[in-house]
Amino acid sequence: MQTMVLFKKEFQQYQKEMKLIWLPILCIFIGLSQPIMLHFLPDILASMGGSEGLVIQTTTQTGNEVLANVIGAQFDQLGLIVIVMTFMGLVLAEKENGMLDFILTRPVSATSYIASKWLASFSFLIVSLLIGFMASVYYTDIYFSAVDLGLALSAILCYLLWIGFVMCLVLMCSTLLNSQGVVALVSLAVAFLLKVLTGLHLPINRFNPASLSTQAANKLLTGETSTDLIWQVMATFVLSFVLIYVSIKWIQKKNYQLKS
Amino acid sequence: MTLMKIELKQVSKSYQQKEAVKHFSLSIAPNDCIGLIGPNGAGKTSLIKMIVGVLEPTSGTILIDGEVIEKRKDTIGYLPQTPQFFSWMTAEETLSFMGQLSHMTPAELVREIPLVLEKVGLKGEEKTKIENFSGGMKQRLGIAQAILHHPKFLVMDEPVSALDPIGRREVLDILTEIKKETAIIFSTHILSDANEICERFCFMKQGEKILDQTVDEMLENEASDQLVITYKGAIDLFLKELKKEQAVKNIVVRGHQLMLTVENLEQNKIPILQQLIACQVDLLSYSIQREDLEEIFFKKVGVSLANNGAF
Repeated sequence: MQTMVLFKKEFQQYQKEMKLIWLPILCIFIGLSQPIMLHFLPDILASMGGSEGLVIQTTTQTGNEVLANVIGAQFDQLGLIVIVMTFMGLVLAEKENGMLDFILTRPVSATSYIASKWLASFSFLIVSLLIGFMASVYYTDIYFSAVDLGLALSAILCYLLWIGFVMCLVLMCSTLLNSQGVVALVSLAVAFLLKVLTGLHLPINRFNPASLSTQAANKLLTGETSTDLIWQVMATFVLSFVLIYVSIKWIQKKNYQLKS
Repeated sequence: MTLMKIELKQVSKSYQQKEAVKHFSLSIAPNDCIGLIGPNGAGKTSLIKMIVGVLEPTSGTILIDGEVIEKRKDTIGYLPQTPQFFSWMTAEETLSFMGQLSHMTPAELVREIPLVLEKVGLKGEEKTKIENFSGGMKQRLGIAQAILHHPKFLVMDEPVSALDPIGRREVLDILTEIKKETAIIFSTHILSDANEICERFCFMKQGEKILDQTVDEMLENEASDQLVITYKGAIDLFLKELKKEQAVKNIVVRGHQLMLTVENLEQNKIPILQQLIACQVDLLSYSIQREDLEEIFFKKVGVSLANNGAF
């Protein structure tokens, strides 16, 4: 009940802050940039002039290859930065303006508060990213080749699991830390560190949530995922739960007070 | 009606090396109206935040009707020093949001919101966005959200300190009405505000409770006669001499009036007045008066020459 009241408030806030409009638009922009850029790259270079003697060899990419790049190079880089910047004040803003105190003097549990924050932000992100991804699928289908929708959906599902973990990370940083800049910095540093680890072929990647993003790209490229997927999914769930648990405990222990 | 109580037992709060509240015990009954009085930094805000459950005591317990606060939050209404709301919400939306968090049903909200807005003088502002509210209006909305769910206890942290005289008067009048049906505990460093609505005072100094009595008890037990001297000109030399006097227990200077708490006043007043003449102070008049609450406060918190009249 309380979770739903807070959940509704979050969406009202997204609406008043125009996030409901600009975040999906930004996701569409991120989703479209890869297929459109690849398609029009030769025209763009030609229109810039001064390219006499320059030979550009572009390989014809399949729709699935383009989409794999959309996930791996666009959503998982620029997208991550946008997500962290958008939600870094998730809890911190209410710590700073005193609304968290106000809310918690009501019969509201820390669990309800954190759950509402995570559910609202993640569900909004799922919708925004899906809109951006579907726009990407549409244009990839037009400019390149038909996209296997089944593969695309399983790929985006893998990616969304990773994003769910990133949201838990941002939520925890926003709960524990007292500066939006530090929240953004720590969240991005951890997320990109995990992404870098995926390229190093270490055994730890079997439990690395960032590997889900690689799995998503592989699924589109090869139609298959590695056998580690189940471990990565389980590890993502466990780690996400730990991050949420720490946030709840932090609020329960009233450690969030910025000053007395 | 059950006699619900808030019981604070040996409550302490430390921040790293500083102890903000020290072994504080207090019992708040349903019909109490308690003024928590102390200078800035006395630990009032920390104590208030512990009572409403947003700060965890380092030691000690706070129980409402024998249960921990977490289980009885519905019995408390809270107004922080400078209430902040979501600026994009209207007054009505804010009250609806806070009411829903207190488990109020839609029917209750429809019934109670207009009543409470009228009570705090915000009738007609239902649809006004909070970003357009003045400080006084926000304070009144803060009171409205605090009493909306009919709490047994209304806990307020310096509710009028940040307001101009008109806003202060309006809020004090509202509180006078509210105390008829709700127990009130509020902190302030302005004694006259507390004196207007409270029957019981709790003086705090450096995190400690130094006095907890009703106004009548305080005047009977703590007030003593004092020598009030009205003078003209400089008194620095006389004050220096007074500080050496063992019998002079407290000195307060207000404008051209000097209020002295003196041991064995009848016996010691003549030597003091003689000293005054010797120091060439231009004496206009003198009288013996009973100490009022303010003087008791100054005496108890140890404020005298250095910062008298500051409260």
